[in-house]
Amino acid sequence: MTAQPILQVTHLRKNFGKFTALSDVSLQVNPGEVVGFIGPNGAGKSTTIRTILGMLKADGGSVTVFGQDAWQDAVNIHERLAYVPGDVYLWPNFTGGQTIDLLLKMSGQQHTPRTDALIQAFDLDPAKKNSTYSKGNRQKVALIASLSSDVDFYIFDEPTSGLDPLNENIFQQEVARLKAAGKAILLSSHILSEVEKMGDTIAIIRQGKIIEAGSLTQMRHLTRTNVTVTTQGDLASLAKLTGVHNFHLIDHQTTRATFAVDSEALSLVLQAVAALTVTNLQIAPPALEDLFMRYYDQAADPEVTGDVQK
Amino acid sequence: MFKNNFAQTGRLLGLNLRRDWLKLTLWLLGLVGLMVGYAAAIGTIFPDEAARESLIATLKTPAMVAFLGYFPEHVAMTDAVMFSGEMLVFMSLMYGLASLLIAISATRGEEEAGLVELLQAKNVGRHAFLLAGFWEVLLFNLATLLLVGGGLSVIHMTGANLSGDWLTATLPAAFGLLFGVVGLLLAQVVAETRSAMAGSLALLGLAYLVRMSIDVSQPSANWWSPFGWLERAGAYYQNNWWPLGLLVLSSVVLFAGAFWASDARDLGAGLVAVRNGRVKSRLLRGPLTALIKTDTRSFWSWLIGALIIGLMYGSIFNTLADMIDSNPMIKQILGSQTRQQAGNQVVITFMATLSIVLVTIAVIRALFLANRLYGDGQLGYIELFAAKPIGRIRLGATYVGYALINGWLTLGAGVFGLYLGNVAVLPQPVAAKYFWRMFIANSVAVLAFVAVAAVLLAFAPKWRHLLLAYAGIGFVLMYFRNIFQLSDQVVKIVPYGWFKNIPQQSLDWSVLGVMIGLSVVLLIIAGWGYHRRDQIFN
Repeated sequence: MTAQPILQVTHLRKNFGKFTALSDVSLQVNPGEVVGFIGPNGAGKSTTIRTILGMLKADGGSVTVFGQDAWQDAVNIHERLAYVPGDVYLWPNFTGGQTIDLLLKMSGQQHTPRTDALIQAFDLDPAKKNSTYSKGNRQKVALIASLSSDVDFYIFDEPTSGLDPLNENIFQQEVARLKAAGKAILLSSHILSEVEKMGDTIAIIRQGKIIEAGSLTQMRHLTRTNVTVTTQGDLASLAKLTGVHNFHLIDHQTTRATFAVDSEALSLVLQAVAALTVTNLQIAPPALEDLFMRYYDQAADPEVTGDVQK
Repeated sequence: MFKNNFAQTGRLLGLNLRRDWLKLTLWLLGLVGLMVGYAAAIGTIFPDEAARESLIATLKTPAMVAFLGYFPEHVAMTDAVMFSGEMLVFMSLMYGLASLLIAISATRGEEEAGLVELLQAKNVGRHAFLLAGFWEVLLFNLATLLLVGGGLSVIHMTGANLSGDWLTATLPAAFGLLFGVVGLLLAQVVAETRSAMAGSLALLGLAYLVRMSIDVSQPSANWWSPFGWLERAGAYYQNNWWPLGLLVLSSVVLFAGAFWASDARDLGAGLVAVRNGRVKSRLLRGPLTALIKTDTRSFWSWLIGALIIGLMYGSIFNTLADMIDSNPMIKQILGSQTRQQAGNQVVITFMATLSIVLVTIAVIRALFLANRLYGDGQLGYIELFAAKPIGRIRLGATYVGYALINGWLTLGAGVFGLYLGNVAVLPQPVAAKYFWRMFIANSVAVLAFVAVAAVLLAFAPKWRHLLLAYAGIGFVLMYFRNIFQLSDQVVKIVPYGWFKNIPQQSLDWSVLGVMIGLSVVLLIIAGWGYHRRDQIFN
């Protein structure tokens, strides 16, 4: 990680008139890294991406790609970058094949055997007019053009929102291939599980602000482990231990309970449980989704719920 | 069966009216306002006999007949007859335009927006949208009929009669209904709103062109165009009602056709399926070629349309001289000093009036194209370009440059058509140099318009449509400046007002030079503004 980052966004601010779209966004993407950029609808994901692409001018902070200014040097930067917008709209009277070639040519790329392989893999009929494609098929056109480009930085804005699971899988494989080849990838999404499969780092944006960023393993440390236990002794005392949350007795029996434990308090709590003679113990892995939901909806109960039995 | 097809039509109609109320009200105010307002004013605008005679003579010139329609001969010229002669054809064009736009957006527009799919999954009949669209157009035209008819009866122009008042109110409404139904039909036949609009507009334009060419050569054959039916009614002097029957009958037949098409097609599709195309294109490589490929059909339509209009005007050059001989008043209006001047002098003077038609067409074409810089951003194409190694200046210049070149090409096609017509009909044709003057001076006007459009697009894209209105005002000012007796200063608010005597005068490069210089400065400012502003999409 000593190499220069591909993308460096520092304290980015962007206003549209009086409306503050982005108040403080910092983001970094390194070579060989997949960064998941997550947030609810309207949080500022697309605005951030369009600023990175030099379509919007930052009102504060800085955005550099390949060490160059995103606004000033947009043309140079775009030679080494591929982008798939969130809503793909294509010229209605061109065919899919023509559109892919046009998108490639404008990037200075060639139509290669890889392109054909991707068209086949995604099962796209390139002879059809764009106007007859569904949302998913339009997305495929843009994805094929981007994935078959040989560049250093890939930006995907909610790339799989129109794809079926089969195509989603192909996309994930392609991202893995790019990552292995040392490319940098920024992947925006509002679905965590999608990013979890491909990314190593995530940044969560909410109301124009990055509220959490780090590696997925780090994030897991922040979460709580869910424990369901049956003992012979009385469990009620556990509720008072520090690091135990959401303590519930099951069926009003004092010998069966479910609760969530802070990662750092885990060993201490387990020792206390062991002392009560365990007859059954289930430990669910930290659910990132829970953490994520907590960020999504601040109005909701701040406690991470332990509802993983379903 | 009935329920399956038409369920909830009434509720849809209510929704349509609520959504479109502003659009409908504005059209209604505009159309009724023009009809009733002019009727109320006609007695006072031209109070004395001299002014009236000059107006009548002007209306009988081929330029005016081509634009406003055939003007009856051997009929006592009352205010009422003058009113119907001036207004019926042109206003019906506007009624037709309004109706087809309303009809298409209520049917194919809804379908493209996904609303039909959403609602048809509920208990809404298969043809309910079509029927609701029809009702909307019908109600709109009925409203104009009642308001205009009532207004005309109250005003009671000199020479008016009740039958004539209601005929004058009914004809444009029936004409509007006819083209509303044309819009409904095409919205069923083709799968895209844009194609349906283009097709219906082309048909409306064709009907107008056919009438134009018939009216200036052989008015008795004018029943070949629905516009001719309006003239055939002879409102206020003959009061024939059969053309109305013809209009209603054709509307019914076409509406039945729309139903048949609607029944035969799938949701989201047209009757004409979109065919597959080639996988490769040798043309496509960047924004310019993408623009050219999306624009191909419009490109040829505008070019050929302009050529035909030029040809038509050119082909009446030979009748001009005769007409001038027989009517001293026309000579005065065209502003030619004496008939003794070289034979073609009259024609050349006439060309100055004509050039405003040709340049307005070119300006509208150029403005439409320039505005695509904004429109394509809304459609999401610009975002695809902007993510590529394509500079903002190059992107903006591509659209504006393509608009400018097309404006010039369209102007060129019109002037060339005029020249061809002139060569074909005149034993001693007007020399080519006059056509060159006409083309060069007016191409500077096109440049000026495009430059202003570029500035608006860069700084205030919301106001981009203002220029179209400005072009329209410019047309009215220049084409009717003799009728309204406008001063030289007034017409100078539009670019072509500065060289209104081209082509009989030679080019004044001091004026043209300043205009070119200003345009270049505006283009540079626009480039600077576009370069530094955010690219806002949707």
